[in-house]
Amino acid sequence: MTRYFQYRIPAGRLLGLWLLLMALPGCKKYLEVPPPINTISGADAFQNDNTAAQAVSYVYSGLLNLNVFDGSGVGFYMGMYGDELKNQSILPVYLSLYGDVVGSSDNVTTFWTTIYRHLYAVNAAIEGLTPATELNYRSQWLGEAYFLRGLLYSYLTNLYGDVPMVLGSDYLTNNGLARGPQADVYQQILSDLKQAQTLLDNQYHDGTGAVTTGRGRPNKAAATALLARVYLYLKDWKNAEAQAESCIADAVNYQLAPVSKVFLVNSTEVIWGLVPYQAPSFPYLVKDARTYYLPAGVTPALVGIPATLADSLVAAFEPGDARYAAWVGKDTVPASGSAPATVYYYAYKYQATGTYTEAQEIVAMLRLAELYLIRAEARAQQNKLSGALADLNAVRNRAGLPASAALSQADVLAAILHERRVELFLEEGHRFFDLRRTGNLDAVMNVLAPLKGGTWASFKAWWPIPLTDIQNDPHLVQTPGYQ
Amino acid sequence: MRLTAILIIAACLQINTRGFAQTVTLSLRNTSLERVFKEVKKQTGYSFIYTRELLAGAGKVSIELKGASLQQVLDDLFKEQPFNYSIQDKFIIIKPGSMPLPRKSTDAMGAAGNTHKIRVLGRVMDAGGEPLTGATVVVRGQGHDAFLAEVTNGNGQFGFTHLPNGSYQLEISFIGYERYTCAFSDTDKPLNILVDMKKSTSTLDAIQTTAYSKTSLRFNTGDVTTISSEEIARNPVPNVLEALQGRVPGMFVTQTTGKINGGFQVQIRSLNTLSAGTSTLPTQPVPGGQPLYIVDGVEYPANGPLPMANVPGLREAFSLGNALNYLDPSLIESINILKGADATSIYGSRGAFGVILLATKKAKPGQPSLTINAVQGIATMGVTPRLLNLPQYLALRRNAFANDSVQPGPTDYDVNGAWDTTKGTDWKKFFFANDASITRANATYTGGTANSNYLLGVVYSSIGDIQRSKGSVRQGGVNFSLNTATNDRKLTMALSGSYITELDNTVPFDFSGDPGLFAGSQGSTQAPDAPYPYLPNGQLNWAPGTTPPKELNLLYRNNTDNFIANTNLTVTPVAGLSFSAVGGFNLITAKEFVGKPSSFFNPATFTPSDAYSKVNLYRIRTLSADPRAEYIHTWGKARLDVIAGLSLRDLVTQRSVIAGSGFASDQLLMNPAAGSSVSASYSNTPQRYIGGFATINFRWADKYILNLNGRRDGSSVFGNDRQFGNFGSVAGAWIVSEEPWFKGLRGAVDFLKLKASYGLVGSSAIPPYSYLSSYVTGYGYSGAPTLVPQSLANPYLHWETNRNFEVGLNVDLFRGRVNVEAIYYSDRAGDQLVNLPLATITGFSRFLANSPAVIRSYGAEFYVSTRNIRDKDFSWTTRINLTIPRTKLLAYPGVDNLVGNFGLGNYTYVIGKPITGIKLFRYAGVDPATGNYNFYNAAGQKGEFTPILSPVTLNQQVDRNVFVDRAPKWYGGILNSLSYKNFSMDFLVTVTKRVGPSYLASLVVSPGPAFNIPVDLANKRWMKPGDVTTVPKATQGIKAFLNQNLFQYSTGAFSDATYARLQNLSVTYRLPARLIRNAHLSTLSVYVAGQNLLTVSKYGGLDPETMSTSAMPPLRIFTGGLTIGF
Repeated sequence: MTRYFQYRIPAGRLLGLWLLLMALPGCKKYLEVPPPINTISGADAFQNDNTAAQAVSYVYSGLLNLNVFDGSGVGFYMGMYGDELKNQSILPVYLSLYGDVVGSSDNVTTFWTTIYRHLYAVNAAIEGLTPATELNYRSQWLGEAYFLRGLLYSYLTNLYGDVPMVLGSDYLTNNGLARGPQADVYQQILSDLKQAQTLLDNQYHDGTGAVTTGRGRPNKAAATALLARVYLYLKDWKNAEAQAESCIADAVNYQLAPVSKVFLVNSTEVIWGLVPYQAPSFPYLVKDARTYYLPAGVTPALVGIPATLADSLVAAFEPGDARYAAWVGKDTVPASGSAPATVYYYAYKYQATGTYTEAQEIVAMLRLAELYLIRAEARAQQNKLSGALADLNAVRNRAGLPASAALSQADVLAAILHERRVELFLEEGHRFFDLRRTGNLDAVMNVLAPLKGGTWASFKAWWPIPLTDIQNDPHLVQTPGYQ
Repeated sequence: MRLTAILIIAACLQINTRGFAQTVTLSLRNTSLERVFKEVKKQTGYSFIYTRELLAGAGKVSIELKGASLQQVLDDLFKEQPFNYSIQDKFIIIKPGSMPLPRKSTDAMGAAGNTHKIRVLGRVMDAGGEPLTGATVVVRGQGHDAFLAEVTNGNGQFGFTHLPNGSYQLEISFIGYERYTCAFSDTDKPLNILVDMKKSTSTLDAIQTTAYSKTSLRFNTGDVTTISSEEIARNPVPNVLEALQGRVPGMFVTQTTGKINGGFQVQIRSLNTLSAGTSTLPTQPVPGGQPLYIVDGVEYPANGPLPMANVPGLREAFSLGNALNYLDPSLIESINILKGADATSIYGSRGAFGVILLATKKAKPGQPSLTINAVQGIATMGVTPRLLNLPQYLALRRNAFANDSVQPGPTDYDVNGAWDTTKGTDWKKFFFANDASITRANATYTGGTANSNYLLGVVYSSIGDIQRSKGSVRQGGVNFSLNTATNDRKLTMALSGSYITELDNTVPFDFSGDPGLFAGSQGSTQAPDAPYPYLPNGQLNWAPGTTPPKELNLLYRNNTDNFIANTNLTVTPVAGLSFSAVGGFNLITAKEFVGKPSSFFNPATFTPSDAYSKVNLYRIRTLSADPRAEYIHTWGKARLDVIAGLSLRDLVTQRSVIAGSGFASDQLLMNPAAGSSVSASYSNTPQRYIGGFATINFRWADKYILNLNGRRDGSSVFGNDRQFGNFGSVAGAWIVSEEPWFKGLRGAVDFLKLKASYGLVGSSAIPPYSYLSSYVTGYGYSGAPTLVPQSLANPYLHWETNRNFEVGLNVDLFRGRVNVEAIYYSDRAGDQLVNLPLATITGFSRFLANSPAVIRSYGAEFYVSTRNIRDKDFSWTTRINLTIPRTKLLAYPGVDNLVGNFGLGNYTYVIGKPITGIKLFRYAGVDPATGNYNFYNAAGQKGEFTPILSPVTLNQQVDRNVFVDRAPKWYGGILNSLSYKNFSMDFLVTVTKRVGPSYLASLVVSPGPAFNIPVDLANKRWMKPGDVTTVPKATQGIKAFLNQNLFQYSTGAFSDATYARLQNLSVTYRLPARLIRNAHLSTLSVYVAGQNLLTVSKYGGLDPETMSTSAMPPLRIFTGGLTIGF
């Protein structure tokens, strides 16, 4: 009997073990695997300051890397499409852009796609940061996110008019959105920027949250400056003046710089700019420098430069303008064969084209000269002409030009528009947007388009949106005129 | 599940309760049996096992006993009852017995005035003396069709007592064995029967392994194809998948390259998933849905590419490998391929693409024996087209320049006088050796008693590189298996495992050529007058325009270790009930090193920063545990087999890569971390699965079979709410030939079974964590890193579901001479896991989701085996299999908005068409006037439509309007086995009917630029106006590229790639028994075997299996071997 039990017992135990396995509680628990190690899941990204800042930083690097701003970004596209650049390329993509013949599959729709891609990141950040009260710099990151949402919508609506208002990260909801009226979009922008103003402080912070002198991340003044621009577009002169005023008043931090130093990385004029980073192609270079720069004596075709400055823009500079000397490059190509000698003018605001280990220049997204011109225009519109002229002349004096001779309100406004043209040329679409908001676009383009080899129609003031989006979102409609 | 467990625990506790009386005192009148049982249990602790139905027919009993033994009580109790009982431990099992119910029911056995004297006891063993557990023993009364049935216990024992007098027929059956029958009749003595069961040679009774059980073709309701080790052994191949080619109906195996350690694609039945994505490549459709591989119960990672190194600038010679390359075919005992819902639904979430079960060789009892098997042979290149020799090549090139009306330019070295046009090199001969040697050897030592046996083995193999390099692939390993059991065989334990290590130092590059690059070609297809690649001093010749074979100077070592271990524990407390647990472990680790030393680079431009090396370490670890319980019971004609269990899987894939560049000297190259610029990456991907399953198999009178499977499965690859899914199947079979009315047909039709099944299976071929939104590290900003949103969260992701229906029949004709299996299946695969398009305003253009797309995949499979001749000396059998797979896309919402590769449109999926096709331009032939390709546009106009240059070009969306299916139309194999006296011969011919891109269409540019082409192609080219040809004129300008691109995506690119291949031939001579005995050996045989020996095809020189101009065709292998058994 004893022997019998000796081998019975292990069997019984093994049976017990087996039964334990059978009754294994918590099948669900077994399926809990550790989170991925090479990615951060959406919910975890906003659990600490480091990753939260990195999620927001992506928007800056992405806007540069994906050519929304700088390089072949909005500035270049609007320059070609409008009256700032002269096409030098035979590539169909540039020909159609220059000829103002764009369609729903053309490159002009990539800004739509890319800006919305970054809006997803911004919305996800707002959603993630709003409850993340334990973070040390929550208000900085959240303020940046609201600022960026305002900025991105201001460009979206400036390029495409009525746009869907994506304010959350839920793609199933967003995939069914229709275009919202531009007025509503602007209300959203105002609300976001005011939110940013309350969240951000006057100092600049770096990616760790520490205070820094670098101006690569927006602060409260940046939100204010952008707000001034938005009020200007909304023709809310009073508020535009007030917001511009508050930036200009901060003379400790912001002063007009000599023209040769406006775009340098330590510029006193830039309120907020994008800092070129160690990108795979052009490390630490502002890509605008590569987009337009012509080495002496070569034709644009030879070095693959697609465009040079339009003759009308070159002609717009008054004699003695320091900006002409500093910001316009001149390339003289001697006569060869049947080709006569030619002079090409190119944008030379950004000049660093060498090899660097840190950024030399900063992509000026908001700078003090624009704010002077905003305040000048806002004051002129309110018939405060002397104040307007004072602001206008501040910009002119910096360029070594005499005070403006304009007297009447209309003259002052025209002088301001002209000054904006030469001061802000090729800076992310200012010129085209100015023509449109001042009602001059059709007049200018009707004359210019045939000269560029195309035709103009009023609907072309706004770009078409991607065909695939219209196919995939049943509520989206094409920009009027492009159907 | 938990409730069941508690009940069983309660029962266990009862078993171990002690302190019961050894005698019983009962005084009960006219009570129910149940009442008595309770009383007996109270007094003795013995529990009764019975079913209510059984006792329903019992009468009331009266019993009066004092101090009686249990045995007495039971005998007295059942004296007048129609039951048998048996005592197993502390259980008393009540079974239907032979006793007629007096005056209550009809007399089952028909005997009157019974004296119940017959008692039959027996033991069933196999030929090796191993007891057979679970054999079905049936006693049939003569002249009646009433049954008594029992299942043998752990010791193979059975017993029937109290049989009424009469004559009886005893039948013992067990899968894989021939049915045993004997007769007995009235006798006063107890009858003792010892049965040695014989292994069945009949196809119908061969063992088929299913998920958690075994069955035979006779009783199987599902589809299982079994390939035995004998069959595998005839194939001298390094990867066992190659041995399956053409042998299994419904399974299409493709080798992606002839290079050793290359990849394989396995398609079981028709493609039924869209998860492979849209492929716009003109070649083969991207394979999707690779089957699930299970080795000895452990999941094996052979269904995906291995995480092998990807080295910039190297063509992927391995197509990322296959894990079965590291499991020596000689270790495999059997392979079972499971198809259809009945066989695969028990695998729940992962069975939808078929399941391949591999079992390794296990210990067997017997005299200790040592078997040694040694093979020596060679591998030669598969067939490739003959290329132009130097004069022919130069003629083609000059013709191209003449056609273009231009003179050779400064970079046209082959014809501008830079290279010596009098000396040609046959590059194929330069890069490929005539043959590579193959050595394989293995030894197995096995033996032991029935209760304790062992197996120990070693394997070794070495295959040289057919390419010009010094490398080889060498494998060595050991395997073992131990089985032990208690004397009563109530507890059995098994442990088995294998460890294989491999060193591969062949060149990780394929020199087959990459035709169609403007800058000249590399490898076999470069210009025949290209300078000899080596200078007299042995260094590479970097003459202008040449691409010397710098890859031969690569440093490459790949060490892969594969460890598989497996334990199996089975407890059989009573006959018919068993508990078992299988635990398994598999670990594949590799250390792969690739280095580009200074000799890899052109010394003129080399700088130390060019030197590069990379080490890739990966580890794939799988753990599994499968506890389960099985209960087999028979009542009369009914047999019930219930299995329930739990399955756990834990998979981890880890990978770490260190790459360095910039080395001060080549010596430092071996350590990538010594580079001046070093990058490292690490990944760790866990996956877990858990499943509970049950299967119920019910058989009535060996005639009607019902099989139910159910599984609840959970997987960590899905989000919290969607981790679990339910799968299952219902299947039935009717063995018509068992019907009494069928008897008249016997002789012509010996066996006829009809079967049908319907079930739901799932698949989840998506990467882990797909349900989470995720951020990855992107380019920095202002000195700090950034996080880029990479994917959208989709917590609703769930399994692809596959509803499978099938019907089939098995027929055995003319006394086993002809055996036919035919199956028709039809699947509806839904909930497809694909990237659905999104408007980009969401931030993304697509997201992974379950699309409501529906694919119908259907087809027919036939398997015919015939025994043509069988006499004393000569036998000849033939086995033919044929598969006709079809698919049809029934629905795919949003199909028109799909975006394929390169942002182009969808050219793959068309509603109502197969999912393996492609939309193409309509080809109009080579224009006899101009010698250029012509095409039709959608409007029916004919022209060249040269992109960019022509005023009218073709529109990818509109003009690609002809649909061509690239999947095989049908495929099959014919296997003949002949034997004459001691000789035996097997040969397998495989046939595949399909279309594929022709050699011409595989070129990126049409013939003319500086690369070599097949003679056949050059001869057919257009020479002068009026020539009606299929190959355009030679040209070397931009049009050679532009128009070729249209041609590649036109109907002209596809030609008939149907082929027949002598896949395998083997001849064995077994030395006469007398000779062997005298030499004190148990076996001695010699054999020769060959693989991929002959291909017949109109496909035009290109191998119709790999269909690639840049990958080596499958190797041809010739071997001779010797098997000695001591």
